[in-house]
Amino acid sequence: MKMRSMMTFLFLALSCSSCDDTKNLPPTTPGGGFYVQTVGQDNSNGIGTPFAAQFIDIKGVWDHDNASCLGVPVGDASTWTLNSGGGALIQVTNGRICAYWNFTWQTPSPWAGCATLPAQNGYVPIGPPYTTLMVFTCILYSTGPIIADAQGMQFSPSPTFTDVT
Amino acid sequence: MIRYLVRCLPMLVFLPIALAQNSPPGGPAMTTPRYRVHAEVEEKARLLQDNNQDTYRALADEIFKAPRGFEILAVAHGIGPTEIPPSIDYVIKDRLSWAEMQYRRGLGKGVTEQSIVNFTNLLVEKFGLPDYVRTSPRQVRFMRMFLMLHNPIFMGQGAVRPDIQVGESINEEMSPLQAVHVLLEVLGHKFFDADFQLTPEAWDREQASRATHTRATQTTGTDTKTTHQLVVSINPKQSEIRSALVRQVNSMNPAEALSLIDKALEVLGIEK
Repeated sequence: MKMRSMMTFLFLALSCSSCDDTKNLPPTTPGGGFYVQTVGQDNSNGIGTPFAAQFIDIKGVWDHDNASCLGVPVGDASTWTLNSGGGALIQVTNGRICAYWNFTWQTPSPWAGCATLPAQNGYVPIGPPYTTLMVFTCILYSTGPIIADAQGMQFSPSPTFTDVT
Repeated sequence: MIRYLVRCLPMLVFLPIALAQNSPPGGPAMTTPRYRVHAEVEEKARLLQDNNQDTYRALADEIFKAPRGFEILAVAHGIGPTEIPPSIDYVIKDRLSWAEMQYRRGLGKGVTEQSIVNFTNLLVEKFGLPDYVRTSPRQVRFMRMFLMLHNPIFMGQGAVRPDIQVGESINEEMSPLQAVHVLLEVLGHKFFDADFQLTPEAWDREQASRATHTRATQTTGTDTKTTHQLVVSINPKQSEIRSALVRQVNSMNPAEALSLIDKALEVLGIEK
């Protein structure tokens, strides 16, 4: 009985190890490539202005090709993990276009909340290589009156709505 | 440490006052930001030494290098503040750092928010950009306040006059390098930020609507709640601006490019 359980476990483990991202990928062709820009937005301070989020690790996993795309899906569907660097921009070399991708935000600090979120699906449309810019934004929301008092120095009321004439 | 405190002191004292004076009564309370935006610019501003032009030059370098959302222009098309040929780049930054030193010594002119509006709108006309790239004093002030929140040492310097009275606004005038920081931020947001890609009139309406919404969410809540969200999107306006810019810039010869840079410094009121 014990032996049977162990064999079942071993079989399951072996089965799972072959379920990696690279299985059943479409063949790689030239003509792909797109960019991903990493953006942060802190809506908790009253000025929810987006800004370039530097040095963020993003993982991209091909999901599926768009069957009804006005053209043929091209490029490489392999999984990648790349850092957005100081320019907050990732170039996905020959990344598959006319395809759906799942993007995961992997850098936790100071983006702990976003690094724990599941991957987000995005569609990279057909077009000339490196014309599409996918914007991947991590947004922080806070609501309620308490947080405004709890985090140190206050700028009150909001400076956002200035009276410039 | 003492030097640091001396630099920070006016900011710590005057910024909350200045911000409060530019807000409608009953607006939402604000907190210090938790993310570092243009942290390197702030660091270089902290290291400024009064008579050392190299430190001003380092700050100018950092302002041009700071990520503003238009990095794709540089990577894909070789266009942008980081792509200026070295010989021209040297002259511009030299002129800017000297103007900044002179301004801080009380010998040079400041740059008004209106000058930033004028130059942005001149670019819109020159490059045939869409109407939503036009800007206004309100949008420039908004972006200036955003930078002031994240770069208080640099952007707070000189924001208020010593004799400021209750009810008065912050200075409309900035130092030359502060103005370039604001100008590039405005241009960056006009390029990548969908919320900022509005005509001044549409943006005013949008802001008024947001103010009402923010007040409602911040005053009716009974408990603090922080949530995160991930969004994947494509900004079609960004593509539209990119195409227009690439088309126009590629058709310019070096003399025209140089003349445009010269015009920028002239409109910003930065002396030769």
